[in-house]
Amino acid sequence: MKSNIAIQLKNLSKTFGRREEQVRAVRGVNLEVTAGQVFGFLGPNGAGKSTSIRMIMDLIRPSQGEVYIYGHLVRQNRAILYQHVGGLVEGAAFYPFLTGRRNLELIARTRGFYDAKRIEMLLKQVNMIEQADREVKGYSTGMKQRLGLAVALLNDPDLLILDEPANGLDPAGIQEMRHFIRDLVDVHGKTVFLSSHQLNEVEQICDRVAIINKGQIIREGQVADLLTGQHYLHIEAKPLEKVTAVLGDQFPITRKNKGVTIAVAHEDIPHIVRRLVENDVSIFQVCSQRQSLEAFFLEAIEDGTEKGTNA
Amino acid sequence: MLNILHAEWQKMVGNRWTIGLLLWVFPVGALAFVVGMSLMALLSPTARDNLYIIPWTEAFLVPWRFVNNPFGLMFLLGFTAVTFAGEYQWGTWKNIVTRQQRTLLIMAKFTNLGALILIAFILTSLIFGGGFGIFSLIADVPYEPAATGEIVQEFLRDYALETALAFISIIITAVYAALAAIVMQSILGGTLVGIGFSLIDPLIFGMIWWWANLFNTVSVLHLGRISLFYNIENIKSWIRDDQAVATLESAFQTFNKAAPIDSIGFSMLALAVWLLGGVGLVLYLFQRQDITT
Repeated sequence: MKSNIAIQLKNLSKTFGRREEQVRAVRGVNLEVTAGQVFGFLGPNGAGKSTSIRMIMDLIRPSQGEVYIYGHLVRQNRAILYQHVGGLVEGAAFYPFLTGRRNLELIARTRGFYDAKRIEMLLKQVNMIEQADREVKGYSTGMKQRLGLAVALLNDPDLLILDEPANGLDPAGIQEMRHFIRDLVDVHGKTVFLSSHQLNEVEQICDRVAIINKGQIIREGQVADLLTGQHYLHIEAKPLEKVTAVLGDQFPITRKNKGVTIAVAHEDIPHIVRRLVENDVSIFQVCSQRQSLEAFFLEAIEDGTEKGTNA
Repeated sequence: MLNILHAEWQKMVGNRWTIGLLLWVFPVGALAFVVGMSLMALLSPTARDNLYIIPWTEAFLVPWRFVNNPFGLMFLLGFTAVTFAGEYQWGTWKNIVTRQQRTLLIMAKFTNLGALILIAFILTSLIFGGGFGIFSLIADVPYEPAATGEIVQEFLRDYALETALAFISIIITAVYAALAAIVMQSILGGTLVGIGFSLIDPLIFGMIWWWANLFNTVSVLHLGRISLFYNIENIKSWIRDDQAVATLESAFQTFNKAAPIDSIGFSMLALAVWLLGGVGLVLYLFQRQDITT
């Protein structure tokens, strides 16, 4: 088949509506997802995540740009989607009047890879075997998400595209989903491209992330690389005015409760503590925290402009 | 293709309430009518004496005539709209649609829709035909006319004609309901547009005639020749009476002009254009559509 790049988006754009009412949902997105990793696609609501995913899945026609899957231009080789891609797009949806099993059967038949044994195996794998013969209209959101994951795996794809897969799952379900996704990559060698707004989850399972805002990619890189360097130092000390006076010219300081929070590089921490002691500040507590993906994400979308990528 | 047909069949038949209320209601209603009337006739001598028994050659045709009015069509158009617009409302297209497969999916839906409608109405027709036979037994009167070779032959010809034309007309109307369902992504929208189409079509010829009179433009009358209703009537007229339907001639006579005579081939071609044009339009629009639900 097969290029080492599972997904490549080249200048991908989508505009909805005509003339005055035009909405540019996705604007010239360029992205490469290397095979064999979990790639997180982050963005606030309306950022263009689902539209991008629908374009990758050939549900929406791009206004401009191209989608390549394993090096194949999808527009010219749509069979690549059947053969190598499975997807769960924006909330699992099923025929409510049919059972979970029957839904899987007819989706598999329609897409040309019906295999009763595989359906049985997938129902067990996503922990839905006991509910498989109940009508979907009685399912919870979490159960539908699990069944959606089974749909995505029906054709044993090399690449899984999952749009908010943890939506509607309880904490135990989220943890189970996290292990499941990591196993798909680490044990079965698949590639997973997932969109999420649950940043804690993304931080824990993704190898690499891209942040999209207002239809544009504003950050991209290895999760570890994006989060190194920036630390938050929380200091409880007296008098706080003196802390501000001593450090305010060098570092951005925010007052919080009985202390201050300072954004610093890891190597600056000893220097900060030394300066406070030298200036007779009484220090009660110094707590260093690595910046979370959530903080990074919020900062990135607040900036709102592209600052280049971080490989 | 067989797999897709099978899946579509499972989906349409599996929607038990919808298919029950909108399609099986016809044979079930016919059966209830026959059973109810039979019981009444058996239990009440007055009811037995008042049983009105139509000839079997008519009884078998009743359902096909009933379905070709807006009330009967409403059920079938509702079923069509659910078949097409339901996928948007349930958000299920995204599980099965990629652009490569779209033509096959639509063709599978139309094929199954046609098959189910045929099954439902052939069943209804058999129940009616058989039911009136039971009434005649209860009333102890002959079930006329006597089934001579000639009568049977004539009946089979009429039955084939009536069912074929009713079926084509239903399917064409269903195609336009499907078109509306796909464009509007709404079950109600699809049903209403289908009903509107079925109501307006028989009136088109009259509206064109009125327009021609108002503006004294006889050439406009030619537009009426492409209407669905006119062409169905024209085919019936050719098969039954071996001549073109009088509608066109009457309209042209108002202007003291000779009417063109449309052959059965012309009307069959017109129906084919309606059918293929409608299906083609559905396929074209669906192929270009963004699946955003």
